[in-house]
Amino acid sequence: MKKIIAIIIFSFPALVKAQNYNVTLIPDSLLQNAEAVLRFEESKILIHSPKSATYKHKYAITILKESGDEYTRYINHYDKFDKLTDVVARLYDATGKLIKTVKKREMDDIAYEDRITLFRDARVKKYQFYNKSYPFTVEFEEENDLDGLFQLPVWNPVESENFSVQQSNFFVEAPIGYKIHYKLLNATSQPKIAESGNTTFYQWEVKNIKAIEEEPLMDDFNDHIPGVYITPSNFEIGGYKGNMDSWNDLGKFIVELNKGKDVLPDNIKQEVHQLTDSLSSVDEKIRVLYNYMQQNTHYILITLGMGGWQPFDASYVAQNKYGDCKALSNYMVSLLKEAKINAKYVLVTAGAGKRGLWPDFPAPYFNHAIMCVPNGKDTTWLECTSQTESAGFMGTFTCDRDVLLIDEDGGHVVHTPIYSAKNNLESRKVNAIIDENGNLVAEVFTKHSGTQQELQHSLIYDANNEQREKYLNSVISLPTYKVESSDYKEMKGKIPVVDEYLKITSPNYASVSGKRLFIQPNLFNRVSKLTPDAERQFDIKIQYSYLDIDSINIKIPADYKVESMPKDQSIKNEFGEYKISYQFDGSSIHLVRLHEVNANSFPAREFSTLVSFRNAMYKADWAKIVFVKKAE
Amino acid sequence: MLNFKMKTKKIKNQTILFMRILKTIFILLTVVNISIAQDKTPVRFGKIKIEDFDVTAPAFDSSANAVVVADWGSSEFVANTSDFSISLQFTKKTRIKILNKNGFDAANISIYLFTTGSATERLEGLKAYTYNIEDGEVVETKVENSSVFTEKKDKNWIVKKFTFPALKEGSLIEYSYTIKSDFFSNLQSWSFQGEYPCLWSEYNANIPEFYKYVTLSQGYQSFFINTISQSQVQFNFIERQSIANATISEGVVDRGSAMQPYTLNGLSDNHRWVMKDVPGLKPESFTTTLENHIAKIEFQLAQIHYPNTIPKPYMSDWRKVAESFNVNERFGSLIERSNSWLDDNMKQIIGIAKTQEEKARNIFQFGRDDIAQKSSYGVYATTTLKDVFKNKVGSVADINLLLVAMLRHEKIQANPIILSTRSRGVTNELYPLMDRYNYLIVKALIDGQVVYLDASDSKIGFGKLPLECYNGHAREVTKDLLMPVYLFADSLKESAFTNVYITNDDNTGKPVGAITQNLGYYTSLELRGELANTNELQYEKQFKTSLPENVEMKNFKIDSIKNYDDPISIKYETTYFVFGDNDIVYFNPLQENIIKKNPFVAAQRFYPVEMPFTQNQTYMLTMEIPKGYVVDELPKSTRLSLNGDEGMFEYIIQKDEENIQMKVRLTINKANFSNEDYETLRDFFAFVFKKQSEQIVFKKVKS
Repeated sequence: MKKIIAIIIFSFPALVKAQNYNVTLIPDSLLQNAEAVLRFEESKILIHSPKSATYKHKYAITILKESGDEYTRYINHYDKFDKLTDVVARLYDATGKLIKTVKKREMDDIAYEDRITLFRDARVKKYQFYNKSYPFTVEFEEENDLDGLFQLPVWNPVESENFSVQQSNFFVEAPIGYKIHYKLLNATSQPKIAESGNTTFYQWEVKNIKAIEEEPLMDDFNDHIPGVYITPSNFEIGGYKGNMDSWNDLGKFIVELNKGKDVLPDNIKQEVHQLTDSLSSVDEKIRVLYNYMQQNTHYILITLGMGGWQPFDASYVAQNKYGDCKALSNYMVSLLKEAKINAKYVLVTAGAGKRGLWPDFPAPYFNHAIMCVPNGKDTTWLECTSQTESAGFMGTFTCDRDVLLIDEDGGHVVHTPIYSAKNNLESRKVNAIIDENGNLVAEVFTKHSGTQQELQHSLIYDANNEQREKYLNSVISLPTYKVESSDYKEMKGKIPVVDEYLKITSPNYASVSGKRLFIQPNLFNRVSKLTPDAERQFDIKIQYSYLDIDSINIKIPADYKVESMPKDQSIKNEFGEYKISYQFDGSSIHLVRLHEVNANSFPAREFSTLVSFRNAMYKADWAKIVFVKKAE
Repeated sequence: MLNFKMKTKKIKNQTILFMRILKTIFILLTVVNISIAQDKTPVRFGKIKIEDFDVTAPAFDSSANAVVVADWGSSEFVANTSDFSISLQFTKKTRIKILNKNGFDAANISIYLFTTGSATERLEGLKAYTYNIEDGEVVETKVENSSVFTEKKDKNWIVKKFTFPALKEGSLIEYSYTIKSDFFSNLQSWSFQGEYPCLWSEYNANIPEFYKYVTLSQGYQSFFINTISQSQVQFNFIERQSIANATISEGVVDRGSAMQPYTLNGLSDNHRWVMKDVPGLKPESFTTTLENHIAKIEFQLAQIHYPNTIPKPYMSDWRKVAESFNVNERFGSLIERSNSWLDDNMKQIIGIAKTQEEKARNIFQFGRDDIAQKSSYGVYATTTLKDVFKNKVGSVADINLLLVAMLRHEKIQANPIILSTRSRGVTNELYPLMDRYNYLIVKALIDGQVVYLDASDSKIGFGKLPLECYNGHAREVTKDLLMPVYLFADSLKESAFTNVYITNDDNTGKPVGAITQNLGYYTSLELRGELANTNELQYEKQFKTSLPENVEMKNFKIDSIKNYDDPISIKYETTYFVFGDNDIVYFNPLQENIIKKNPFVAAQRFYPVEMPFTQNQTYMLTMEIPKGYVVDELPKSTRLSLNGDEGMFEYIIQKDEENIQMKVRLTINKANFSNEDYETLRDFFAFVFKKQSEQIVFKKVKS
């Protein structure tokens, strides 16, 4: 009986005739806040064996307005492991009438290119419909041959904000007895599972998902959409076999890929010994070798064959002095190994604000490699693609997330460092003078640390004098100003610190208007306003912790007295702490401002508290002191 | 016929000349300099000595991350003796010093090879080495052949890519290669200027008399050497079966029938151009495109003339280009025919329109609103007009040629205008160098008035053109001529007007304002684009956030969002809560800043300032003095002019017993300023910026 049902369920989509894309069939609720509607989707992964699968994907999107035009675009990156065997694109008018059909050979086929890649043996197939008769519907039907199972396509029907879904189906077929794993995002329901003949069928379906409208400081979009990630159990790719039942198993596969890639040429080995043999502490050896690696290599991305996952040999890096994240991390592990330091290769999902891996779902969705020297809470983390980063500092690109550490015995889930508000400090001291014409001269001494020194770090290393000057002369929110001189000093460390000195002149900073002088004493650190939202839907996410302290002294011309002085503020709540005080001693203004924020999530209903907190800060940050000439 | 060695302009004093005049393309004068010893290429490629590493950032570009020590190129014509043809041979040798890590990008090399599918340019003899000093010795590391990647970029370009190994701060890198080409029209251009400063940039072109090229040069740097000498050249074709009575066309010898060697003799013009100490290119705001400013030489094949043959023209004059446009089935023949398939369609589109203008507007709106623009540029149609009409999609040229056809169908005089957009760079006024032209608009004569139209831009109004079109010289394609037309940014005026009317509310006594902002046309266009990607509600929220503290806003309205002919006007009402509780109120009478941000902050300027239009902004305020307050102080009225009559800023404020009146006006009367005017311009804007922050001081009447 079960089998018969299965056949009915799973044969059904194949029997479906052309879909009806008449736009009048879209429920009203799906039009709200939507630029485009996914009318129909059928995503199918047909697993033939651990090393072969077919991916069939057909979907239709109705574009409601101009801002939805991006969904008329089809882009497919293909290579030898993921071959695009066929694709057809169709255009329908509002009534659902077929207007145009475009075949694979009519589409553009171009070389793979991106900002960081020197060369990759992949190509890009792309096509875009141009149409103005909104609403209209585009349909794409593609088929891909997967040569080797590793990263399987994700079912992700809600593509972005302002995108609703009428209906989407996801099917996975695998030989009976072939185990797969799946991760259900958010409220995605369990699949229907059935067997027939030699095949196990899995099916998911979603219907009528309303469009999400983005909100400021919103938590992760991915926490609100349905979706399924599929991983194979046993798999094979590029001649390598592996298993993804656990993180440990996935780690074993990476061990296999990296095997024998750590052999250093003799001259490099000698250099390692020359550099480190006389050093006694492990920390010092790490620092010296990291510095050596940074001085002698740089980042170049060349991806060939399995190169998306397999590093170039350490000897290749030694010879060419370049490599990508994998090659450089592997090289660094090899250098440390030569110095008898036990270092580990680590895979991570990098990017500011990105979440780490799911501890309960082993899956190969990484985009970066780093490495570490494990030592409990004193573990040293190294970013090997940077030639300037401090040993041990991770930064917003990789900090605070679960990652996969590759040990000889396989993979282990560990967490990268978390930086507290006090680690991420921006402490500024300003000594300034304003003359009788309102011209400002300010000397600004700022200590930046942790994630709050990343920009300054980059100003030191990634910009030349001219670029730095240009940048500094464009970013400060003073109306007209010039950075007369600047100086940076970096103190490397696990929490790196940059001391910044700026001398700034700002003509007419203070407004002299008749007998009055208007001064905005908070020169550099002002928050922006936040608009109240009575219908706030999503939780609030504060991504980073930080602490700002500004201490500002401004000497003003003689013969002025205070006419109007803003009130001191002191607010402390779950969102953080804010204190500002203003004083005038007869010749100088003294301002002290403190702002501490702690990364956290808050329920949507707290948004109004956040708005009033922020707007109180806004008012205080932008306040002016008004002086008036003493009577003559 | 074209006179190749035409003398036109002296290039002496060119630095001064071209700093002042924006027009950068001119014809090279062939001056014969006397070669002296130090004019030799100062680098011996492939022979690196320790002292060659002694290169630092040059004084003229002291922040450089890498320095091109020497960049040497040559183009010549060579006989392929065995396969009876002549090829163009381009050789390039480059040495770069890497000063620091940020200069490592200079070591990523891409070489472009042209291909038609059947014929492809060939890369030969690529050699690339990194040189480092190790233990006092020069050590070289080779770029292996296996590390040179071939990428088929699209159907016309193949890219060879590689990067240098063993790179360090202080490394020297050197590479050389030859490209053999059968495409005589692809005589390689030469950029003397690039991202990094260059100490010596040299290009040699040996052009036999059989080939005539027009040479175009541009930029602000002067040549260190610019010479031409003549020599004899001989092309020998000797093979097992040689030829008598052979003829040659393009680069291929027609072997004929008999068996004799074939030799081609002639004179060759040997050009040598050298620039020294060229700074790196630096992007600046308010430049149309760096392409217009880069120092470079380009060539256009004008004619091939082998002995005993009839000369074959490749680049013709404007008249001939016009002829070819007119007969081209992707251009003239599309609009010259009667297009009677439009008959029925036009009835619908024209509707009840009677006058020429009404008809033209209906046609234009149809083209703009119903036909989608696919993202392809160029001046030729990509398909038939019928196709464009039926599929409702086309390129810029497709849509606007259809517009021409539809206008002509209704007996409205209309011609295409071809041009190059601002971001692509200026066109040559003398020569019909058609490669540059990438955009097509329409000139219509409606009731005796010239109207320019562009139906390809989905938000532009009738009689308006996108800013990108205002790039000076363009050409109108008439039946038998290409007539010069000029579209100058100077001819565009962006006018904005804001009116603020503040009175005391009868009920609450609080000041309330009625504000009307009539945006400039192009500011409106930008906002229309923005609104297409958000919605009015979000925009209102955003607008609200930009208001000062203590100001409440209601009845926010945006007019004419979809009325593309008119600028957008924004209306809203305000209440000023700051009055009432405070003894002193500081009030900026400029509710909306005239300039949001000082556009000119950089201390120095290398290129001319090229603004997209001239400007005229007016702000008027009438304010009833708030109840219970008196004016303690008003900002001073002031007036400032920019370079005489090139611009003006006026800030006039006065009061009587009940009211404050204010008028602020900013006009900039030209779009283009030379870099010498930069400081004046910057100071002018700084003054405006300062003045707009001044406040009125109100004091509470002590009761």
